[in-house]
Amino acid sequence: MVEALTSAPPEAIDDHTLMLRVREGDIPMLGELFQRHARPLYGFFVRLTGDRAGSDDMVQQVFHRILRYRHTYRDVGSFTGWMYIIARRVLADFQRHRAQHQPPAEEPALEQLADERTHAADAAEAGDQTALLHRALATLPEDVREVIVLARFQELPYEEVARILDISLSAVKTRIHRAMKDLRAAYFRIQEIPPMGLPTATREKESA
Amino acid sequence: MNCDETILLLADYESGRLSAADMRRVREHLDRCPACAQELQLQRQLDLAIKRERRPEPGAHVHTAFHAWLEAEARAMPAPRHVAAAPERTNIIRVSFWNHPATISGFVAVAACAVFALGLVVGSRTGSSSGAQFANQQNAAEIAALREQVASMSQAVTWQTLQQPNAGDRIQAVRVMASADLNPVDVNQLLGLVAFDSNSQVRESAVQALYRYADRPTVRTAVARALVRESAPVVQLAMIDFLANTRDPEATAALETLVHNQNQNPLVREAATYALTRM
Repeated sequence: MVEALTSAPPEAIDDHTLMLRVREGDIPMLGELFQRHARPLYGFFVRLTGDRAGSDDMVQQVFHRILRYRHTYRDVGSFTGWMYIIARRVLADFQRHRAQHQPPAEEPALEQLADERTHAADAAEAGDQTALLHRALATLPEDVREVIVLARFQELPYEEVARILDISLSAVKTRIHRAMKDLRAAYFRIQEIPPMGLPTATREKESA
Repeated sequence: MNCDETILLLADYESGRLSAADMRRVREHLDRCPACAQELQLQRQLDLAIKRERRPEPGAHVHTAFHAWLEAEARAMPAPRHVAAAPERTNIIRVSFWNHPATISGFVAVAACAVFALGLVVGSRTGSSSGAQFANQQNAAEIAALREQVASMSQAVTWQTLQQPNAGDRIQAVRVMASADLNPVDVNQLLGLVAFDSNSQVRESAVQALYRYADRPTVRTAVARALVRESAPVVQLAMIDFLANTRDPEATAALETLVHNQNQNPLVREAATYALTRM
């Protein structure tokens, strides 16, 4: 399959085949993968850390590791899933490094922003829903944030999320449900909308 | 379907991930349950906010830096890998004067010039005299001896560099060795580094330098043995790659040891599994 597509332009080749070509030594093909994935990957890091400069570095780190570990890429499976597995390791290294080198007073930007109600109100007035959303996201524990970012923001299939997080499909579904519920509560709380009619308090119980 | 079941399926209901039967059951429940219907409205508001999120973008410098790096990597990379080609090295290292590659190469070049100059002098001396044949034989012997001395001195410099306490210096020496034709003693030096050097980057560099000698059973055996003892994933991956390229069935046991060790790095296990398929 790889040979058959060698004459096709990179943009016409799917991720998996491009990565197989990179694995076989066609290094420039990594450029096309970068074009496709740098932006979502950056979104993944920013939403999880709130650190834009750090996310810039991490995106590059991921592609450095992809090249370095290209021989571990297998013929079966998806490139995106493999890339996010690497991305999670890069993120873990980044957080470990930050924990070791950053004074305790300086918490990650996302957590700081999360409690800034005044700023949140300003943002809401300005119609900046994205900022509110990110602040709500920042209030969630990291594992919850991660599943929600992968499944809802990055829009990866649940099967892919399960593979990346190394958990079962049913665990992904349950975790996403809880994560969305927590995010929603945080999102409306930051906007200072009263939690009217939240179903857990008022909903009627029906039998199946 | 009750409220708890419905709530759990709302996100999938909204994104159309449910089966037709479940879609219908959720819809029926929503029609008669105001609380769950309100839950759905809240869910939709959040989904809308996610859909309207301004997607974060990396800085322009990231693209520039990436493409510059990729270009350099592509230039440094040999043609698609095969056993006889050593792969790229990208370590950023600090080198001192005596083991800078230019210094070592310069030393070898000066010595080669000396051999050439000696050849010229000897050639002019012999001319077409009656004893030319004898003189030529004598001169050839002198040149061979000088060449041997140069090779020996070059080897001494490299070996001395391999003893440097700075890992960057040792890596540089390995790189010099990787570009030379090594005798069995030098190859053993590299194998010693693979097995015993304290720095993982040096060990990895030594593995890469051994690609040219992968056809020797002793080299393959030594790398496989070192792999079992190795703990740094980056070196393990380099060794696995090396053994996979040799396709030596003798390495199977070492690879299987890694695959079955639950405490190993997942990437390493994955690489070993893949390597086994190539044996």
